[in-house]
Formats: sequence, C-alpha cells, structure tokens
Amino acid sequence: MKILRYPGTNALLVSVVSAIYAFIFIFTANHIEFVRLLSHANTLSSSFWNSWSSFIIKGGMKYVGYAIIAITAAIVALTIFRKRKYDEYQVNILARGFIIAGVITVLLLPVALILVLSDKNYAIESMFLLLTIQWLGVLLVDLVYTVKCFR
Amino acid sequence: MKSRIKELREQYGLTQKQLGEKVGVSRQAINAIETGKFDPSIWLAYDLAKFFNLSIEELFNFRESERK
Repeated sequence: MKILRYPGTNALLVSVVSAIYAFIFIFTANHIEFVRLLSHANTLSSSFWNSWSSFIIKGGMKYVGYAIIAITAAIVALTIFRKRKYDEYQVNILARGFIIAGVITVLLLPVALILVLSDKNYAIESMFLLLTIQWLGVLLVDLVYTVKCFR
Repeated sequence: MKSRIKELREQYGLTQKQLGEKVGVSRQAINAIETGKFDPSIWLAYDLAKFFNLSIEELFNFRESERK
C-alpha cells in the first residue's frame, strides 16, 4: 500500500494498461486481417449491435484508442505537476478503486467466455465493447480522482 | 468512528484545510474523519490528539463507535 502514496505509481499503472489497449485498438483498426474476423452479415436483428459492428469495421476503434491516450496523458500531466504524496485517505480511495477495477476485470473473463461459447458471431465485437466500457470507465474515474486530489 | 475533531477544530477557529496542513493530510481526509467515513491510522490519530493536547481516547469515542 505504501507504494500507492507516490502519485507516479497510479500514473505508471494506468499508462502501461492504456498503452496496451491503445495499441490494440489503433493497430487493429482497418487492419485487413482483423476486419476479416468480424461479422459482416448483420445477422442479429439488433440495430445497436449492427451499428457497433459497422463502427469497428470502419476503423472507429482507433478513435477509442486516441481517447484512451488523451485521458491517460491528462492523468500523467496532473500527476507530474502534483508535488505532494497522497495521504492515507487518498491511498485508501485509490486502493479501493484498483480493487473494484480488478474484480470487474476478473468477472469479464467468464462473461467473455460465455459470449464466445454461446454465439461466436459478434464475439469479437462484444469483447471490444466490454473492454472499451471497462477501461474507459476506469480511466474516467481515475481522472476524476486525480483532479480532486490535485492540490 | 465518532470523534470530537469537528468540535475542537471549530473551537480553535480552523478550517478543515488548515487542520489538514497542521497534521499533513488533505482537507478531504479531515472531512472524512469528521463525518465518520474514514478511520485514521494510529499515527494520524496520534498527530491529531497531540495537536489538540489530548489523548487518543479523549479525542476518539471508542465506546460509542462500532468496531470494524
């Protein structure tokens, strides 16, 4: 827990995971080998899933990747300009946040497996949606935390 | 945990931010302790008690607080 007192720890953890997600989202956008794996037939009678699928096919995930980079950059910038360590209350809040994010990530694994096993069509689209919501959610909460603890 | 921090802080004419600066924590930490949302570490409890010239038992009401 002591390591969380250093604001750089938060920035480092967020940066490493964001770099992986941003790389995947930007690299796979419009990549021909990846686009081949997606569902093109609009087989579900759900306008939401068909819209999400066409968003990915058109390379929209690169914008999600850019959004991840932008939010992470804001968190890192705020961390660099913060002069003091976090106090024990702020460390407590940060630790709880990481635990909740970790639990959600662990719960996503069986959910993703169920999605693939139950219907492999749209499995990749579903995984991308889950990961986008999960990581953007974590980043936005972390940004709010960093802003509130900036002074 | 219930405490007399808010009462004593107001007697001393301090804001939460000023008290936080005296004991090296944020305004949010003092607010969370005053409202019973956060139990401080033994060292922060010691620093607060020392600042108000009280013992930890006099500053924090252990008898009326729930053990976590």
